Amino acid sequence: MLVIDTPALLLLLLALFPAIYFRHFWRRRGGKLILPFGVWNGRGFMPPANPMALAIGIGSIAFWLGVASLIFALSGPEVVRREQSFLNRGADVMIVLDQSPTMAARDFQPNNRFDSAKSVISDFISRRQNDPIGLVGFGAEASLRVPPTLDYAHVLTVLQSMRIMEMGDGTAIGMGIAVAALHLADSSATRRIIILLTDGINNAGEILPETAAEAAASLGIEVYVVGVGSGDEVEIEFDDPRTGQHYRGTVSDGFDETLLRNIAQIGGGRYFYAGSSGALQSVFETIDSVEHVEQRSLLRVIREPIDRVFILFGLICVGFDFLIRRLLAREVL
Amino acid sequence: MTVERPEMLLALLSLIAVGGLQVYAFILGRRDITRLAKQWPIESVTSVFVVKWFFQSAMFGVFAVLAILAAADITWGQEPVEEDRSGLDVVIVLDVSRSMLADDVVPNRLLRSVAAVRGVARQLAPSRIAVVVFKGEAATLMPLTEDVTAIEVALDNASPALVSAAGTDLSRGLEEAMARFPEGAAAHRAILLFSDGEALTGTLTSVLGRARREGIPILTVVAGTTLGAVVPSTDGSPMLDDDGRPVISRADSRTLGHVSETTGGTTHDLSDPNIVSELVDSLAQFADVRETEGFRLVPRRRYRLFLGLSLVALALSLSIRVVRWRDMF
Repeated sequence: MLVIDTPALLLLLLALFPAIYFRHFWRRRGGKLILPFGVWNGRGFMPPANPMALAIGIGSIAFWLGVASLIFALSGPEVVRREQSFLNRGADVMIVLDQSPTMAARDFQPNNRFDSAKSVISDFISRRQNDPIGLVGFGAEASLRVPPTLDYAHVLTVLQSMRIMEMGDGTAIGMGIAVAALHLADSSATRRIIILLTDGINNAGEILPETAAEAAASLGIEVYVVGVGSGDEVEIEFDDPRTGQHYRGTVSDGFDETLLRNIAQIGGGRYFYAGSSGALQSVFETIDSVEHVEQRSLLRVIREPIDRVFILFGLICVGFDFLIRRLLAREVL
Repeated sequence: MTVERPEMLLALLSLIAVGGLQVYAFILGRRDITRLAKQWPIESVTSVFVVKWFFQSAMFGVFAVLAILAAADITWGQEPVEEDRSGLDVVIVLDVSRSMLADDVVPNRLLRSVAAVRGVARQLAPSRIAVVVFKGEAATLMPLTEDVTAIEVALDNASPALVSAAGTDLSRGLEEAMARFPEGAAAHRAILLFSDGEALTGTLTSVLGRARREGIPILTVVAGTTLGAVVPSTDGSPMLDDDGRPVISRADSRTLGHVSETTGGTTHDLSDPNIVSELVDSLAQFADVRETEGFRLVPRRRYRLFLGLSLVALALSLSIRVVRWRDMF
């Protein structure tokens, strides 16, 4: 929103009208020699309409626009925007994303499970406001990709860079939960949540998923679990990011629903099943609506002066008129 | 007095062209009046023309100079603005250029800086901390987070190999750091810069001005000594210049001092054994003072003074032309 710091100064714009009159229309104005020619056939001499007159006219318009712009700048134009500033801490949310090869299954048309998950997670992040969000990726191993942060742009950048199988061939669900719990352990947030998203059976890692969920629960961290995949025989296709080798085939193994339900129960959270892209979207919308910490915020008014733009515009306009009068019209004064 | 947009002062060079055109107009005017000499009392017209030309040119020149100074955003003095923040967000900017591998501080500038960053991160908890690394380009190693463990793990990888672009562009590092403060955050903001100060490319004026306007102090830590040390190459042997002599890097405390002074920060020496506690105390003191006072001081802008006077000069310049003198010109 545009506001004026000292609107009274805009009254100076009224002075432009007499100034325009005296500069362009006053018959007795100076800066010119009056030549005593006779009158031809009862009519006065009129200057011919030519490109020069047009250029001078354009220059004059630019000049007065420039002066108006300078007066406007003097009045202190500012752009005001309101920034919501949160006074309390939101919930820490750690998203644990399966990067195993089966996530390349194409039962979430037109995307595979992994790309659909990334898309839904992106939407989820964009809806949060004051909740630090972190990312853990897991395959045969697990690693922290982003710690809980409000820098959502950074989280989204890292999320988009995540690839299938970059954490190895396997599904270390327990390791994924454990890494997430480790990085939430010292958080000062009153509410801490892990959202596990997987399509597989735990077949790697040194920590059992139930043990990791127990550890998380003992730290007061809730674990939400989302099982993805249709369970049918589905085509998979992906490139190994380490070797560049292209893989193609089918997969029919589903996830271990009993295990996932157990993890959610132990972790004090909920289990969701997402058999399609739309269902996955609904699951995250449900989590989004359930997981809300009451926010206290204030609106901070930020004023950014924009006078410089008008000063530069005014200078350019006045300079343009000066050049036309001196170079083209060859005015001497 | 500070010029917030010094690049605008380059526009003053255009006054040479303005002056040239005014002289050209004067020559044309004299010539035309001489040609019309048979019709008018030439002496009187010429003197009126000369006087009007002089004052009109002078006033137009004054207008141009003052308007350019207004655009350059000159400030002096300070004024308070309300600051309703609490807590502290710190972005640590770490120079990972090859010169940071010089060993004039033990074991070398980079490892010593990393150790100091670890100490600061641990002692500032639960404040949020981000880590930005830079060379010729800048990259975010860690976004703003309370997770000290993640920061410590990320710091294990701090090396010149983290950023591929060669060189040392301090401004890129600081711009990346400014971008890491999330919109709407309620905490006070500060930047902690670890560098040897050898800024080979980039200009700092713009980013320092922004940091000053937004009330973000930059605390600088000078890594290295003025005597300097040889910069090692990738295989550990001394890096050689075009003449085959070893490249010696010397810490530039003057540049880093300028950075902290401009933004209201403080300068520290990495060799100081109490560097971590000094930095933590400085940051905590900064946040405490801001929180207690509830306001911060910002530079008082004076553009209106210059712009107002420039409009007066333009009005005088117009008046000199428009008002007919001695009923002649």
